[in-house]
Amino acid sequence: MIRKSFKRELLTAFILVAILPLLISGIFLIRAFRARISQNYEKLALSQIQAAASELDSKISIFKYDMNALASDEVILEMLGKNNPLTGSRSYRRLFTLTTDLRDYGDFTVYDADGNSLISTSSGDALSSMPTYFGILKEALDTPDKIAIRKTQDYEDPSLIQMACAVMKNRACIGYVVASLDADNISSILSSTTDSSLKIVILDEYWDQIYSNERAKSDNVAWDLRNRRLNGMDLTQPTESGIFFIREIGDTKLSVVIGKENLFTADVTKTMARVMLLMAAVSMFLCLLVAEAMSAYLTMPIRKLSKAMKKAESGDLSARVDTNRKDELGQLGRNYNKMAGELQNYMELEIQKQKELDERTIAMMQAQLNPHFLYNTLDTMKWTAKTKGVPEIATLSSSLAIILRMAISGKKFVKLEDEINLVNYYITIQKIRFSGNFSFDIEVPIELEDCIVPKLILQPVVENAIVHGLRDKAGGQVFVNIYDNEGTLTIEVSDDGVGIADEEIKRIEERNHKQEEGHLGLYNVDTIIRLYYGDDYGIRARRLPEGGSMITVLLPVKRD
Amino acid sequence: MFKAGKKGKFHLSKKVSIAVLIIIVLIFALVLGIDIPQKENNAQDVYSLSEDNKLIVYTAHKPEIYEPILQEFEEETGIWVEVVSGGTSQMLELIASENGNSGADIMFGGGVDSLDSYSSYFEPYVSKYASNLDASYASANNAYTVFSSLPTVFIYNTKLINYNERPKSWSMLLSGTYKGEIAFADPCTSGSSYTAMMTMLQVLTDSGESSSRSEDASSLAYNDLSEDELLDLFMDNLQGDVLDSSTDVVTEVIAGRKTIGITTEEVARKNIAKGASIEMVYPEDGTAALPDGCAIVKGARHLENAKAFIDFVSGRQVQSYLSEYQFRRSVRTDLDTSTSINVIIYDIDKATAGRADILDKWNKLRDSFEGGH
Repeated sequence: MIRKSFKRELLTAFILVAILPLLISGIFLIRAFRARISQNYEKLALSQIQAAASELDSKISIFKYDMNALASDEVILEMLGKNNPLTGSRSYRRLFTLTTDLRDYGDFTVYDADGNSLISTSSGDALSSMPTYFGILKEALDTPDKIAIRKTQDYEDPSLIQMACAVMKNRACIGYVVASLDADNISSILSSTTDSSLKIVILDEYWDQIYSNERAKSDNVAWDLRNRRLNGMDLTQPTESGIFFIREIGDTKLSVVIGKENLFTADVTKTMARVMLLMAAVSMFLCLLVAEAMSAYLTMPIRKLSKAMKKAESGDLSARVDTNRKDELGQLGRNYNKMAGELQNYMELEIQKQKELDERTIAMMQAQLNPHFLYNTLDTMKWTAKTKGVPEIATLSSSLAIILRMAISGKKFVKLEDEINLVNYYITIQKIRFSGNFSFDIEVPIELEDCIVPKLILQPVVENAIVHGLRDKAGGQVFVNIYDNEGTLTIEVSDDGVGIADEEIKRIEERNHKQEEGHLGLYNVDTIIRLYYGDDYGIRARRLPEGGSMITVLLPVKRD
Repeated sequence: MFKAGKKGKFHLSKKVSIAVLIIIVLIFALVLGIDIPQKENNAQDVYSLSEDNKLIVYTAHKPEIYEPILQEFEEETGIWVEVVSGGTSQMLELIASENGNSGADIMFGGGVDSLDSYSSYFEPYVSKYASNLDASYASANNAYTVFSSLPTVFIYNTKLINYNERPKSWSMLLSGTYKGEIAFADPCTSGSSYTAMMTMLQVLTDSGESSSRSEDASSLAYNDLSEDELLDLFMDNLQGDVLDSSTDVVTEVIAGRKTIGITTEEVARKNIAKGASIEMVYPEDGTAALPDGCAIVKGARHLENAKAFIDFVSGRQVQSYLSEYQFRRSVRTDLDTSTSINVIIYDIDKATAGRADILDKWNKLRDSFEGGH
């Protein structure tokens, strides 16, 4: 479960970082690129059309100049001045001389006042006559100081542009000079400023087509433009066929049009967009792959750690994380291992300490039964009594000395027969104290005599029986019975005195180790036995039905 | 939420992940909708044209006729002309279908017989120069103004026959001298052919009334023949060979596949000027010079300009020009640019009314000729 959300976070982060910038920068790049290129493209077109227009204009100016030269030339004037103009070689020479500079750009023809052609630079079939009441000659006549420029009117005439001026003498028109340019002439004028990739059209004042280059012809540009103008459509807008620029040629009232293909057709744009989308898709796919791989790489060690921790949870601190990674997660694993190790050690140490403490407590308890100086004093007492001839005192002190010797001995464990001996000495003392007012008996099978028991466990119990059990009763009996009860060494100390009180029994059973005066011995014995052998052993107490009490000491049968 | 402040702390909730994905989708959509920024309209006014300066002309003329004239009109008046061109019936049908909502202001061209049948679609107008125009075919209700006249003529191949052998009259045509050598276009499709045929019938059935005397004695013999018989005779002389279009006529004659052709003066003059080895003959027993015309369409949006156009094309300049440079015959009475010919007044009504019948007869004749004989 966790892994899934981590992967989602990774993936989202990757997408944010990889795809968003890609798309945003892509969009901006494309837009900026297009804007820039369109700008440059247009700039180029504008400069081209500017150049074309001025080239045409300057050529036309040269035409005008030559025509004016012809119209004022004396030879020409002389020829036209005659009633029947003769077209001799002289006039031809003059014609050709004055128009050499424009030989490749057009033809010149001189007409008489009735519109009949006299001389011409054209080698083909020049028009033999032109109307003077109609068309360009009429216009030339109406405005003799200006040169008329028009689209060639005659349908059969191969020329496309005509320029005409009236030759005047004494304010009367005696003839006309007409220049005509055909398609080839115009192409060669345009060739220096434009290339064939453009669509070029020349229009007259009313946007009728004068000239169209190949490309413009095939797309019917002139007709299309005129149509749009007539219908008031915007001409600067790019259409499917391209984008158009229009310039007037000087003051001739003619216009030149340049059309260029759309640079960024819907096609191009779509392609660019598609490429970008493809890249984004690839990017997305990569993000997915890497997110998958990365999350696996990162979550695996975490899983291993989780597993180890689970084991430790259930108590097995030996579980370790298996890692040899060099990064932070490897570090985490190694730290965990160290911690688990330390914890293990700590636990063992604590157990060790506790054991030591228990042992010291036992030792301490046992030491409470070890008064060294008393033993020495008693010894002195025994000898003094003996020399002073008081034998009971000697018996008392020597018995006590033996008892104390055992207590001081330092050995934690003794043989049962030694323990019994000690009890017997104790009884000797007590018999003197109580003037033999009670009887004491021990029964023990010989084979149990070499059992190992903790030191001084019997005496306190017997003492308890005498002091509390018999208590001022004369002639009481204390009986110790020792037997092996299925591996349990059972020592029953019974007396026929007052029965042990219920609350006593309860305290013993509950192991209530509150320091109760007078019963310290019993409790100590119980504690010692339990510390050594566990809670299954220790002291048990009960009242006897026939009167009196029985204290049972349970120990495991142990031998050396 | 999204916290990337503290080092190492990075947590994205589900909501944010979804938000990010939606943004991505939006950007995808943006990408797909990339578009060229629209340019503003600057200097738009420079190119606008006011309606006062426009004229829309539907024409049945050929470009070699209408282009120079329209160009001159533009230069003279400063009015921009928008041209729609096509065949006579095509243009007239278009005007009829547009019916008052027409784009056209002017119908320029088309024989007066055709214009007459559509006169209900035209705005009556009398040209400034009406008094100088030939009134023979003037419109009864001034629906149209005549423009140029097209006499029907014969042409003959000068290599194949000489001057003396030329067809001088309609009756000579039917004499059998030129059997199978006559180039004639199907009157069903060619207006000028139909006119020629009707002219022939009219001349030959009217020959008693015509002012000139034919030299051919047999011409009187045709007086008695009915129209049907004349048609039959004509078909016989054609030997059933009818050409598909009027342009084929001159082509066949020039190529020498036919010796004689029936065509209009304009076609003959043009080809002669080009240097073809053909010559033209005006039928001595009479021929019709049916003019074409020019009319203002009812509901024209540029009425004043249309009127100016009618005046212009009936003026001296245009009429002289078309006569001298366009191989046509002027309709003006004050220009003697054209040779005089023996004209009959073509019976327009009869030609229009009887058209279906006659063409039907014609087709039957054709079929029967191909079948038997």
